[in-house]
Amino acid sequence: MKIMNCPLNGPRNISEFVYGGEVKPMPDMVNCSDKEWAEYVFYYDNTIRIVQEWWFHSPSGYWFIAERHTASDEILKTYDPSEIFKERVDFEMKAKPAQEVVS
Amino acid sequence: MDFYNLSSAVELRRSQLAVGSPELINSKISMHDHTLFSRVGFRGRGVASFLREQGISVPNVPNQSVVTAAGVLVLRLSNTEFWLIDTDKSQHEFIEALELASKGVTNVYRLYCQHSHGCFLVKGKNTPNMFAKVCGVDLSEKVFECSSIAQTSVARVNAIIAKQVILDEEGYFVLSDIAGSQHLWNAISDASAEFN
Repeated sequence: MKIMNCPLNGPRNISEFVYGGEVKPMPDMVNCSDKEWAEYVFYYDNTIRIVQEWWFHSPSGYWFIAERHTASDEILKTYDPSEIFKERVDFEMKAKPAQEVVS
Repeated sequence: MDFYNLSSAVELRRSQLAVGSPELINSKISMHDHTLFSRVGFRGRGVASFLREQGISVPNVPNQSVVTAAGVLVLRLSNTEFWLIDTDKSQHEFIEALELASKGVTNVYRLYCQHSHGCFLVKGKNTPNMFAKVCGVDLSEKVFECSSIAQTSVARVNAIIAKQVILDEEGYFVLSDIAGSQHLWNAISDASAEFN
């Protein structure tokens, strides 16, 4: 059985964790193209290297970051997201003027 | 309605558990259903200071608990998440007042743990041995000290286990999703049966 070290709770059975995707810089969500946004949300490089990934410890509802080697599957390091993300990101959008529906 | 008090209508709460007897199981392990006892949770960067302002001492680090003189168990589940649990069904007014006091406080958000979770108190000498059968985390006396909390999987369902002394007796509070609480009650009953 694989064990992962949760930064909040300590070593736990891997079945308690849920994968949350790669950690990548987020493009400007208002001005980026659809392709750029799709690449951010859906696409991964899938090369042999050490990746930073989001992981979720389900019993405590806690998101953290793990560094994992994609070939050996070894988890090298886990840490709280506050080590990378220092500021809150808001997703406020400017309201678009309502368009009239032409029937 | 801009603020609904989650602790209201305590007399209307009904347990969904079919437990037979409120106490179990044998001479070595007993289990008590505390699901209907009042509790409230808060999350946010302002919660620790809010609770201190209300005269409640809080643990300094996550996964620790303290119990107040009045018998309210204070769980610190992360840096910013706290649950307060009535341990003897006498602190409903206190918890209700606390919930109301949180209204409008910056960076304090209520959590719905009253209705989302079941709560059991498991006591008895062989309780750590029983948990070893259903839980991967070592809860033995020497490793899992009093006031510790383990957030982990118990009998395949997510659960919070908090070890604390209540009325001079050591016990383990088990909180888990209300939808799986009947299963968890049955699983703990089954695991306890051999320790007679």
